[in-house]
Amino acid sequence: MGILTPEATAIAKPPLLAVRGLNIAFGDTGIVKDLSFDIAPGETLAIVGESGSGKSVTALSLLGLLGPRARVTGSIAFGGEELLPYDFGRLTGLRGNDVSIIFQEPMAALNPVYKIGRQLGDVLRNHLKLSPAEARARAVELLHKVKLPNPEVKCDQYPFELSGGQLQRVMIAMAIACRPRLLIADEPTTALDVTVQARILDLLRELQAEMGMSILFITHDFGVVADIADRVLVMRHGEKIETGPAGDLFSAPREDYTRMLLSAVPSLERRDFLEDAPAPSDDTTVLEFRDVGITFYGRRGHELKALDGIDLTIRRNEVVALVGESGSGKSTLGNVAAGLLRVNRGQVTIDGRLRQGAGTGKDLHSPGVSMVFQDANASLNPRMRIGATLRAALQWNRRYKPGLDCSDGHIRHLLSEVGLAPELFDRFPHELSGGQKQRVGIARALSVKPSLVVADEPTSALDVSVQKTVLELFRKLQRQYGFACIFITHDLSLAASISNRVVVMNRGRIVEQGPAAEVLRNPADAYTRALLDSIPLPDPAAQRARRARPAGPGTHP
Amino acid sequence: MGLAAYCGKRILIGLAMIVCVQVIIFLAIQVVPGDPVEAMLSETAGIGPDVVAALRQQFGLDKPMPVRLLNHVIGLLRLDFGISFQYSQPAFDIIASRLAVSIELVVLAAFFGITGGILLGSLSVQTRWGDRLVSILGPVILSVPGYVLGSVLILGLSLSLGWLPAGGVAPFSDPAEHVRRLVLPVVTLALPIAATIAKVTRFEILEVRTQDWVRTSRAYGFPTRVTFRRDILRNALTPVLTISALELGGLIGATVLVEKVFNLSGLGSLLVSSVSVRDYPLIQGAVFVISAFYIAINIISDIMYGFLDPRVSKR
Amino acid sequence: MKRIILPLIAGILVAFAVAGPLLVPVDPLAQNILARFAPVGTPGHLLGTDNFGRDILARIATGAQVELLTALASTMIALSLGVSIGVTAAYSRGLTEDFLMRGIDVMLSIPPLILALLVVAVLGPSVPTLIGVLALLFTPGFARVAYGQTLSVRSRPFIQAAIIFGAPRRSIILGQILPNIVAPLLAQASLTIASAILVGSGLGYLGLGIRPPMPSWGGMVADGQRYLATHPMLMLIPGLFVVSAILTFSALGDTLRTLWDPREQGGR
Repeated sequence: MGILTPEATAIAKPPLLAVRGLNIAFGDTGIVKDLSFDIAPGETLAIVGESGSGKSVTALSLLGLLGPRARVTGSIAFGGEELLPYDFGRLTGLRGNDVSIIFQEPMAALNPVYKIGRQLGDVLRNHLKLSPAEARARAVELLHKVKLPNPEVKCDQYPFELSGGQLQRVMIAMAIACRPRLLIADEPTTALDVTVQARILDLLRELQAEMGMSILFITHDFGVVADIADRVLVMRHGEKIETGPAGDLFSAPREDYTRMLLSAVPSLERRDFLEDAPAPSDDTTVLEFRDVGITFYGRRGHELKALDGIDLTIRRNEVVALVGESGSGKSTLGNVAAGLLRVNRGQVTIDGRLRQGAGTGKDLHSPGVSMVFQDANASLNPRMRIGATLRAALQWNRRYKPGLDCSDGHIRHLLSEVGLAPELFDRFPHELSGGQKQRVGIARALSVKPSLVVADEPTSALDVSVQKTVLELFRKLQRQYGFACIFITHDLSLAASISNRVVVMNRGRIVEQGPAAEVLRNPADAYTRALLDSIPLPDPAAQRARRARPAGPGTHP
Repeated sequence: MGLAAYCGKRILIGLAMIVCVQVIIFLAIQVVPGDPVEAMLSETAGIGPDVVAALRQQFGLDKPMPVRLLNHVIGLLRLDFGISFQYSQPAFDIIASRLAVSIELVVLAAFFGITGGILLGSLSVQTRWGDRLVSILGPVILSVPGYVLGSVLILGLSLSLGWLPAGGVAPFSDPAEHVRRLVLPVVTLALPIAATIAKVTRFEILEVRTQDWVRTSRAYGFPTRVTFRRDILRNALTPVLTISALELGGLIGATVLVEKVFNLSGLGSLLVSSVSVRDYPLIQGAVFVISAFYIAINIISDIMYGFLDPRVSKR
Repeated sequence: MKRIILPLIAGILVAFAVAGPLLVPVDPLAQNILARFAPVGTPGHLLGTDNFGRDILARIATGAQVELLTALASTMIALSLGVSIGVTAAYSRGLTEDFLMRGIDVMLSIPPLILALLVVAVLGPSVPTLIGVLALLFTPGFARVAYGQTLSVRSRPFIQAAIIFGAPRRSIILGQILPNIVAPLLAQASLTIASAILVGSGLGYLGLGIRPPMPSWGGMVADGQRYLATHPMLMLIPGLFVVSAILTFSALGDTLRTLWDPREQGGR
């Protein structure tokens, strides 16, 4: 193959960045193998892959940020200048100047002890000759440019006083401070809510159009790729799987792996809604919330209504998806149902017994409820073997349900029921993969024959390919046992695929609820519409068309 | 508004703590069987009950316990600790006359120990010899009690080599000799502080170095030394400050030993001699001064913590 | 490798001191005016004799037993007290937590050796007093560690899971929390033994710990100091043993702590 890839020759200008035969190894472990790609001026290239694909390592290697243990070989040419082997003196001049980078966790990426204005000013003064006053003026200007409200005030605040989305804007301001020619964005929206993500992507696109910089966008989310990328590079296990213009790749993926990733992308259009599934035939009410409210009191008399006047009834056999962004109160509601939190107001009835409300005792525990946690690893005691963890849950619950079988044989059977080898009985949690641990979590939740299972984002910490199988298992077991379920998720399409009913929450209130298909196709509430509009469509053309439409009146402030 | 309220709160807590400590000490002494007058007179035979009664009245021991507690606390607030049994002088005067030596020792040792420790800790992550020094010699120094270290220094530097005097205090009027006599005690006190602070500084730097904002700093082209000062050392110093305040408590204890080793008549040696004859006014007075000093240091460190870490005071 | 050589030598010295009486069954209190200041290596007096002609090895050995016994006993007491306080405070929250942890703060607001002096002043020097004092001194340390660790373990989802699956309070504390905080507590215990030897021998040096003629390492250093110019060995030998004992236990504690850390990271 020649030096230029077919795509690159199609572009008239010489590439801004040309990577050839890049190999990255830590010790004897190769992380990136023989990777080549180009980025043309003004172009956005998205590198997509699951965890362990080497996409972030590739991004960091461009600026020599991998640390002394990494061995980087091959060729990285930026603007015609070869960067390998690293000349750190030269890189220092390049970093933050010609090439900038923004990271996944903006809160962690900023030093907590300095004010926003100072951190921005330091970056400006590092590369440009500016007085402190000039730097501050420029910092305010930059914050304006990234559309941060009240830039003058924000300049004098510390990172912990801003929200994640605001901090990512600060990071972007920092990145464009010296008008870079290339911006590396390493999963910049992964830690953010969808509505915030959509606005950050809009901002990046606008800035790119204005300043003409190239963007290297690292992500695991094909929806985001469709929204922002001109060209796409799919990576797996450190190798290139395929590459091509975004439109072609979405309409005609060449590789099976790409097709698998694409099929896992949330999509409201081709999703098999549960409408065909039998509606709950059993009318037994499992859980009933009447006007439930929880208020948290902060230090300076701050009041936060985590839950506000919640009325909710769930019957046997019914799967209810709780949807909302972070801070919407969906997890709080789940914790109340699980008996972990005390309410300030209202009544909670589970399995026909009043658990919280006037006249109930101190004990919140209801034996009929079990839970699957978001962080499967943290939900298993690291000092206990898998078998012991499952047995403990059974033994504790046997005080309420004497019929439970605690024998080793039964526990091994439970493991096989969730698709795990019975040999895992004697393993410790850290010897299992993320997906296996979540299966153990599901086995534990079902072992006690619950009438209600609270599943708190059970798949959001897993890779997309694993997510799919775990969800299928969960759905199968739910049909088999018919327990009622509260399924908490931030992902609307996931909610549609697993639930009979969707409950949308915002700021501690239920804003809308109804059958999944109905809520998602004809959202009645403005917030639900905003939420739906923020999900990037996994089709570049459709996404472009939607962007061209003026924002609806329901757009969230 | 945050910082002022935070400071005020810290100071109030500190004052409450001093009172608590005093009440506990007072009550503890009440628990002892036999009263101080008996303890004081136990070695003098043939004293009549009338003399004992008179002495009790003189020291205010004939009043009921709550009254004595109240008198005691009021006395403390007026810096009146009562009359020393041993010296028959106001305890406050005796304490005041011994205070200068101890304060000089503590302040100098704290200064050299903390600055030296931070310096060594920073060097230990940057140079190989610094790493060896802190990770191999550090634990050894920390295992040598002050009285052994002091004795070894006397043996080596004054008895064998004759470079420095073995002990005693020289007046301020002879500054050169004054400093010469302070060198060994200050070194004895400062070495373990430096070792601890170096260890903590090193640990914190290694922790902070893995934080994301350090990567950001590198990614934005800041020179290595700027990144180290602005984004590593500055953040690492916050916990170092907390440990430093704790270390000063140990330092005050160590002063007691070092004053004996070097034959210095400071507050520590006064306390030890008072303890062996149960001179309660002196003991209570000395402990009051020491704990007030210690609590004051803790308040200052808390307030500095508030300045160094905005998250503490603003939340 | 280099890092363990010194602690290893120190450990051997400590073992030697404890086993001493088996090797040389000599009375540590027997005085012999004729054999005063015998040098190291004298037949029958392996480490020489002191100003009363008492065998130094025998005195070191007896001192070792007392020194280590008080350190171990006080650490055990402080460990159980501190862990009870810390775990209770962290688990119950609310008023109990405030009361217990403010109490710990008050105890910590008196410098350690000064607190020890106070207690000795009140109760008079003796071995039980010494053990009590040291236990009192180190309880807050354990309480702080246990409190912090319990708080962090408590907030982890597997504790929530235990609550949801109906675990009684007792088995949450004993079965779920304690096993996860044992390692840092063990490290703390080992470091505390070292500190107990440091403070205990310091009290001995001031004449406020174990009372003469019963030998203590601190007391031997104090006695030896008087002959520092002529017979430095009288100070150096007990000093060396104090240092060895402290070094052994603090190295053990540091090792336990570093062993704990990577596993914690691997588990995440």
